[in-house]
Amino acid sequence: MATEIKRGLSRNNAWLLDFGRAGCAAVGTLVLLELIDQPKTFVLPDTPQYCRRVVFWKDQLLAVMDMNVRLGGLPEPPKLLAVAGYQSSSGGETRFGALMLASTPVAVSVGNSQACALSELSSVWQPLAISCFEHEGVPVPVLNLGRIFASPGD
Amino acid sequence: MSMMPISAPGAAALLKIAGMHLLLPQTDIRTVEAAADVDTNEPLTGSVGWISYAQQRWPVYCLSEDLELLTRVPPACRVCVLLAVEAEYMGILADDVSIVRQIPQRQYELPASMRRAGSPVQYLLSMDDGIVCVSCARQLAGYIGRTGGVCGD
Repeated sequence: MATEIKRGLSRNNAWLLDFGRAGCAAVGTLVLLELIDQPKTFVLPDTPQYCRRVVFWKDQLLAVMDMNVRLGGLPEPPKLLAVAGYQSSSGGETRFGALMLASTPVAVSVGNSQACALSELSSVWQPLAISCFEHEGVPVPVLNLGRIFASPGD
Repeated sequence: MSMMPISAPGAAALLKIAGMHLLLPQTDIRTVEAAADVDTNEPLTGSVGWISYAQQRWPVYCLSEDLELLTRVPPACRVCVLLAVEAEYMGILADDVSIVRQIPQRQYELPASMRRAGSPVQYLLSMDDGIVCVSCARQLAGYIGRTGGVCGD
């Protein structure tokens, strides 16, 4: 079941995404396009452990990224997906991918005063983040989706 | 014993290997034999045995649904599909094989984050409420050669 993301909360400018044991990360409110509850996904062979599944969305086949596995956790069946739009690392047209979530995203308001250095993130998050901010005393990475959904060798 | 001569023009063969479906051009397939006809004596590295064809024997490989080379054949493997790779042949074990005459036109690229160098999967198709991986004998042989089998380029 797909749910359109509501954009009514103008003060909020980021979504907090819960990846379960891997922790939380954020994306801008315009990045998240849709939630898919209980998604029907398909496993493909010879693919990275953290990106083994695809899902159909608006007549496209999207990669399903399991950030929990990417950060060292064990794989679990996807229960909730967030469809995100991003620019590829080489720029160009908008592309789409799906992120496995442990719970529904939470809208938050982030100001400039909350910005913090990438070095405050754990080393596993640093290559996957484009920036970071402090939220409730914890550094939260802002996902670099172009890099996250790039080829494994890039 | 030949189970199924495959000669229909424009068709493709759909191999079911555990949960994975692999579509190969019909022109790449020479014959389909019973898996029981595979000679398991002294297999080549990475293979599970030999199949006889054209007065010679050719290596037979068993792939998992994740395209890993298996050295032990799962009980579900019932057929050996003999593929032509240039002037040579190789066998691939599968649970089942069927002929597909209506191949969907819409092709889906493997998403960038899933693409591994040397993957034999060319593109994907949506068929029968599932996903089918499309490859060909030459790419499959190259992949098997790179992953530890002795065949192809």
